[in-house]
Amino acid sequence: MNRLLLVAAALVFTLTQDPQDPQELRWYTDLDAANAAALESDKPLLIVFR
Amino acid sequence: MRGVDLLRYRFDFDVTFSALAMNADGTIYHRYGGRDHRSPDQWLTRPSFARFLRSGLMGHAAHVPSSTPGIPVEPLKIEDIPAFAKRDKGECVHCHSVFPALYEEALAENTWQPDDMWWYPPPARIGIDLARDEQRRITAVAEGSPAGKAGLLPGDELRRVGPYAIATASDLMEALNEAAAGGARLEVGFVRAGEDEQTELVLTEGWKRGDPLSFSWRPFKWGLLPAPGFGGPPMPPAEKRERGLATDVFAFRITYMVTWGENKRFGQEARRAGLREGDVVVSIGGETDFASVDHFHSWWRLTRKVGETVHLVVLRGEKRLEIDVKVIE
Repeated sequence: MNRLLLVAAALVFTLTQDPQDPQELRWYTDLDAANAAALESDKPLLIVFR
Repeated sequence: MRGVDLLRYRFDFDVTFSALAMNADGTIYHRYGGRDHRSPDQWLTRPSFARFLRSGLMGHAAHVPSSTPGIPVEPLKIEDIPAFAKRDKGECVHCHSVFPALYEEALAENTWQPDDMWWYPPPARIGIDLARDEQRRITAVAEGSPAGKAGLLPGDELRRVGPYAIATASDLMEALNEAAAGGARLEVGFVRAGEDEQTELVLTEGWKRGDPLSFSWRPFKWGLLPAPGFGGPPMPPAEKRERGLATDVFAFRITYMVTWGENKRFGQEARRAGLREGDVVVSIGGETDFASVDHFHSWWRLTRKVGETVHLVVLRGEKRLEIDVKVIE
């Protein structure tokens, strides 16, 4: 059931050049909310589908 | 995929895992994921994912937002595609549902072209293979292929193909996906021995067309016709030994025949020809070297023509039977 489920997760990661630092990661499960946050903070988005 | 704009978040919807590094303005810096027939995780490795993230950050640092607003494009959502909407039960929509919906809709609209099925051509389609961890690096170039004719060599590192910056195999497949099936010329920027170089890929009519094996992993194949109307899991080696078969030969036991639903005519035809559940299929149309049962299904759908008969050799108990199945519409 979950194998091909969309993980509607958008991750806003920072420009610290350390994207694996969990302190710098913010997770969203709503694409619109993630887009709004990325626009406001000028952060890039990582969108994951699986 | 419910609610996802398929135009904005565009990727190979058949894949195991996909990621986009992008700007909220819709600019995609790089893509990650994709697969091929060799493995579901062919392009998924930790080092390559870390490189993809770094490339995404670099893309963002260099990004110059457009000063003029783009022309708004109406979002395309799967639940709004009539071919999908008519059977939408409101459940979770899997990524692999997208291509069949687009296919069915294009058929209904009479806009489908045969070459449209070759979504996201793999690197092999232009004659190269890439390193799994450093996916910009070419590891092999086929002689006489578009890449070979363009002078690309193993060890070269791709930087740009057409308008796409290349950091991953997925970036390359996006660039190839966007090139016309009828023929295209793509500028290629690459690095050889530390020097920036340029060449051009010349892609001629039909270049996107793959083969049954390279297409076999795609869930999309299940919707293509004509279908064999029967199938089953590959036979385990121990069972092959019991049957006196070498463990490395292709064989599968028929565990289902499609004698119900929209496509019941295929299973009914196979049954009429004499096939039965439990039969062990060892040869199909004279072919015995299928790499997988998926390969067999892909082969039937891509290469068999309506009106032909397919000669099968099956084992039933102690008997070896030869059965001809007619390929029907």
